[in-house]
Amino acid sequence: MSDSGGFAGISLLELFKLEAESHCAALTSGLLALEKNPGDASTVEPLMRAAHSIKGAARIIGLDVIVSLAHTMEECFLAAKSGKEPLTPPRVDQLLRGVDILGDVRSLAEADLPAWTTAQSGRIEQLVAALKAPPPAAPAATGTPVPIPPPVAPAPGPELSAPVPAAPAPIPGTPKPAEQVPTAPAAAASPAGSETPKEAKHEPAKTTANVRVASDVLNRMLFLAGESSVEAARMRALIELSETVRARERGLETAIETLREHVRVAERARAGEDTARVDLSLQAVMDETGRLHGAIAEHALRFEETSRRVEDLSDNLYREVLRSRMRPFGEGISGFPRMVRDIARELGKSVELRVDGEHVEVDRDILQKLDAPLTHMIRNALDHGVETAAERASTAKPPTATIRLAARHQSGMLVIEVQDDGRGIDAESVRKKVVERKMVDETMAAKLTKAELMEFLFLPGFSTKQAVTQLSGRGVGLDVVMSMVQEVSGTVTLESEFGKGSRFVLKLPVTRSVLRAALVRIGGQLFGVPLARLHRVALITRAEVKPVQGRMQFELDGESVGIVPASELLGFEAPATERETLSVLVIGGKHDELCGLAVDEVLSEEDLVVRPLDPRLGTVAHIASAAIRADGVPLFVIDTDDLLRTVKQLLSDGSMLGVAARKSAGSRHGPKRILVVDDSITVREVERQLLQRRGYHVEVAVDGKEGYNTLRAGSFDLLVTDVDMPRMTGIELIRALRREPKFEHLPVIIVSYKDREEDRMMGLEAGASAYLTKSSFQDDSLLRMVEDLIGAPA
Amino acid sequence: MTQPANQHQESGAALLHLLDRALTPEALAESTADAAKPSEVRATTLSGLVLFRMGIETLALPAKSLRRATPYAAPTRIPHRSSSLLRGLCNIRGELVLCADLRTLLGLERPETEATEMRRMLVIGPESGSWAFEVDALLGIERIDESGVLTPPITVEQSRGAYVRGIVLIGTEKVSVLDGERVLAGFKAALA
Repeated sequence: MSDSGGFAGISLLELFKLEAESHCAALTSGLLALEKNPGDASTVEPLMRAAHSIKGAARIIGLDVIVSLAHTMEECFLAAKSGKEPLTPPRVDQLLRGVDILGDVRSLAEADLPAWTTAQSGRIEQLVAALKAPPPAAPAATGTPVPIPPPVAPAPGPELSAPVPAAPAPIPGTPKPAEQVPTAPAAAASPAGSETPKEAKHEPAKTTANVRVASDVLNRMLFLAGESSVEAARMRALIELSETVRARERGLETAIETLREHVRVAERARAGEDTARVDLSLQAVMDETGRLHGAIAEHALRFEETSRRVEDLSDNLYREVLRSRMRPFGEGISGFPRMVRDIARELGKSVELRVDGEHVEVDRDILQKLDAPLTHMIRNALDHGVETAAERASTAKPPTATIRLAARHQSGMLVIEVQDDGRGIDAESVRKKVVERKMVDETMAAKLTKAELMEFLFLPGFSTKQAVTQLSGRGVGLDVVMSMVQEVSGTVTLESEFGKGSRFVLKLPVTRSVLRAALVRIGGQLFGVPLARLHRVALITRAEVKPVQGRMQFELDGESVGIVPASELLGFEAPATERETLSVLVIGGKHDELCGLAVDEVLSEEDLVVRPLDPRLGTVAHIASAAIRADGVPLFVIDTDDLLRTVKQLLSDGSMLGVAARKSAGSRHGPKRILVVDDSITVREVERQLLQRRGYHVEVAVDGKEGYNTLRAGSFDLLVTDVDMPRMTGIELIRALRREPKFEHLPVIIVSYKDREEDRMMGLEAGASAYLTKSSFQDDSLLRMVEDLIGAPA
Repeated sequence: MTQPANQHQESGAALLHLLDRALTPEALAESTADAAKPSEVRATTLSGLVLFRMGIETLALPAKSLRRATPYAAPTRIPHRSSSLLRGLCNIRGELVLCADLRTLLGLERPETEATEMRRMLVIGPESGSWAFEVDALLGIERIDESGVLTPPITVEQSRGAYVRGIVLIGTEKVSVLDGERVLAGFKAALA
């Protein structure tokens, strides 16, 4: 590897990795296509080229074992193309293992390469030998399990004398026939370096090329493009200015015209005097003004044209940069066909993966985040969902099971479905397990609906399958799916019919970067309110607002809706307006009560490019993100859910808004108050019952943010919180609390599933008083800890 | 906060030591020559100063502590967070930057007059942690001799003393040179 460190500071190994990456993808997808549709010569062709290119690249960096592997793979493709040796599934397995080895090189550091080569050469040689031998016999299509074979035993006979397919025919589209000749272990890395670029040109033409761009560069480009749009729009003001110049110039002309008239009158009155000179200079002034007029008019015209073009261009630029964040769904799931094939073969099941909506555009951030949860759901389906062919036959299902992966856009959301026609989930066994695990008691369990029972499956560590299999067991549950979905504020549901199959439906925002929002003014300042969260905008007269039990309300479609001033919720002073009509944003609905937010005015609807809040700010109550409006003004996007929670909190507290009367800690009677924060309804209920039975007063919150608001609105003696929660984790919650003098000494107990030492440390460092695991429900360690910290209930 | 006071104590101790010493004529001559010199003390590494006006006063920051100067950008208040020190977020060339109030930090009086067209934004701090603040006018960059920076007199008001690194004479005007790092730290405290 002495000659690494090649051109432009990029090592040759790096170049090889880049090249191998694109070819490996082509090889995998090509092999899978070929397996389904053997005998399609057009599919073999690109595979040969890919193997050939890898061979060439490997030779340049002196990776002999890879040269030999790529060469043999190329030979196999050649044999398949000529029809001598059709690609049977076992052969495809072998070739895919070859692709895996090529893939391994991609993740190697330069320094590790020699060691890797030494360690792997035996395995690679075995594979090469197997590839050279006649393909193993194909098993029955849907037969007994075929374990992915361990490194295959070498073919009989020494490697060099193994039957080599007939002398390779010149391959169309490759540069030098000389390179086709199987080379003896390539000598050092010297063959002319110029071969790589040449070969690269012979890669199959792609319709669109992709380049890698760091995402923060892309973000910065997006901001700059947005800013350029704003600046271009400002040129419109300059056009107006040039209109003024034109008007002034016309005024000048009129003034000169008047002057000329006056001179004429004077001439007539004083006939004979020498006025020729005055006439002449007047004429000169008029000529000059005429030329000025022309010049100004032309300038104005050109300027207008140019500015319009610049504005168009900037807008297009902005839209394109924005689009560059979007990738086709198919790109994010390219590895799944291979995964399904391999696992299905390993399990001896016959499964087809159907993908719909490969071209649906998905934000690259979201696409990336989808990988882990989709992998998990598909593995789950393969492992637990889909039955063996024999089982399927007995239930009159087609022998080949189908897993369907579909993406589509639906009412502004990205909907992703993972569906299988396997055995489905038995809701009753979930119910039993919930009771067994003491997550809820029997009476409560009996009342749970099917949909509620399915929610338990998303809890960490909850699995219905008794045997933990190698594939999807490993202690990773569907909570992976849940946490990703919650992170991007989406939803996930699981529907299942026992015996017929299961279906996961993920609803996610199409992009995290653009938001359709209503622009409103609150306390004199602009805010964005996500349109998707807006139930209605109502304009009402003051007369329509009536106080009911101290709350201001109005009638909307026969329902009475409470009104609260948004400015007070956000901590702004309300501007004194005497306007007769009130603009009210109605939020909530579905499961929540409707709530009216009185704002100064509602201005327009706009697409906002949202940006995360400056991390230095931490979590800001009621604010989801920031954005810059088309005119350059920064504004905040309101977190309506969070706002709604505060409103409810304040109303249930009985404290009237605007008065902000809060119960003071000292003057309180009754039992000690504990707040339980956990996003799992089960855990919440268990903890609530446990503590309530002991005599404490318990309130609950569903995540860190609600917990934070609840704590601020009420008064509590102790906080019990989970760690992993959407929107605001327990750690974030504790850190936020410790920053405020009021909560500096509030005792906090973390109850989490995570029991590693570093998790404990993180919790305690954030400021927790104690760290317990969820097994503490079984014994009385939670109760003991509570008593240690705050004493008996009363 | 305590630094100027410390320096004062140190020079006081040195003075006592000096007085305890027996005086030789040479030492006397030396000492008087010393005393006759202007009270320049520390050599600093200032290469250029950005001068700006706040009300009637001229202040300066080392040019290398500033990231950029831009036209005025109105800050947007941050709900539940904005204070007289943390003014909000402003749009500095397409990026949202936290905006603080230098007047509040230094305890300067708020002018009665309306802000003029001359006001500008200065941006201070590293890329990922920068702060913008408003100044009444930007006066330009002045290259100064390093030895021209004087220790601030103890009379500089306490509220501001913590952020002043020295005094420099430009023309006839005494200009307070602020310490970029300390100003930044003062702004950061607005987030706590």
